[in-house]
Amino acid sequence: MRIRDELKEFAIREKALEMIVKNGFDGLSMQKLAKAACVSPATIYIYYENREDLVHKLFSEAQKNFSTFALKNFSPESTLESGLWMQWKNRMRFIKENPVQYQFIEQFRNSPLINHRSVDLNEFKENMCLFVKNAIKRGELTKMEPELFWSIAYGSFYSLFKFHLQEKKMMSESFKITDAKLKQMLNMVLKALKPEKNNR
Amino acid sequence: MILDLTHILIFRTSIYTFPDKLLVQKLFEASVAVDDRNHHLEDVDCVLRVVSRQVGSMEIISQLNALGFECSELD
Repeated sequence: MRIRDELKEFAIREKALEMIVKNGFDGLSMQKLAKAACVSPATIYIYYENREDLVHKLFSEAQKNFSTFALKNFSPESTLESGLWMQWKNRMRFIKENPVQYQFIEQFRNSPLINHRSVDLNEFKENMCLFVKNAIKRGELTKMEPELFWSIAYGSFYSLFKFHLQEKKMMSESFKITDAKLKQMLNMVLKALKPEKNNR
Repeated sequence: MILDLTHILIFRTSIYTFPDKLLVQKLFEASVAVDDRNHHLEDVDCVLRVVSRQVGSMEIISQLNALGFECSELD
């Protein structure tokens, strides 16, 4: 009887994430991965059918972890302001605590290697949809296409956070995110999202 | 369904080419004892992964040997 070894599985997943983020999907070989994770190549093939299966499972797990972080202490009944603030803080915590997983998600977000329909994000999506619907119902949010909403509500946050992560310099000093800077941006985002009559 | 890991058999083979792969595919398609199989030509060991609740590794090895391929369990 072959027993599932969770420590080996964990080592395979951790090393695979590191290798893919560093060298891309083409840089992932099962032999190199086996060596890095201190397991035999056969062990990897026992847990994963092939490289595609491995990447798909890594993506599902990363998304599940992201969803857990995003939904922590979050209520879809909260106001647009407090809910969005909570989302930004939760997503920031996910990125800070899981930088490799975050880069991996970014790398494979639109990849044809992932069967996106089979990634279970129902709870996350339901909560986000309800949050938006409630905000529209309360008159805090203009009804708009989801892509527009995401770009304003989250695109701005991710762009700002990337400056923080890369310590990219646009002017003379390196950029560090603070709660004050985030609050400043949140106010601008809320202004952009509010219906016209409430925006004066 | 939770898969029993004991039913997963991993082999190193000499199935290097696509026509070879098709030949082996036909062999397994004719066998009701094999639930699933995957073959990785891009792997240096040309790994064959077989899932079967009925046949053991020795049977797979002898079937592939009969077709003229080298086949041994991958450590």
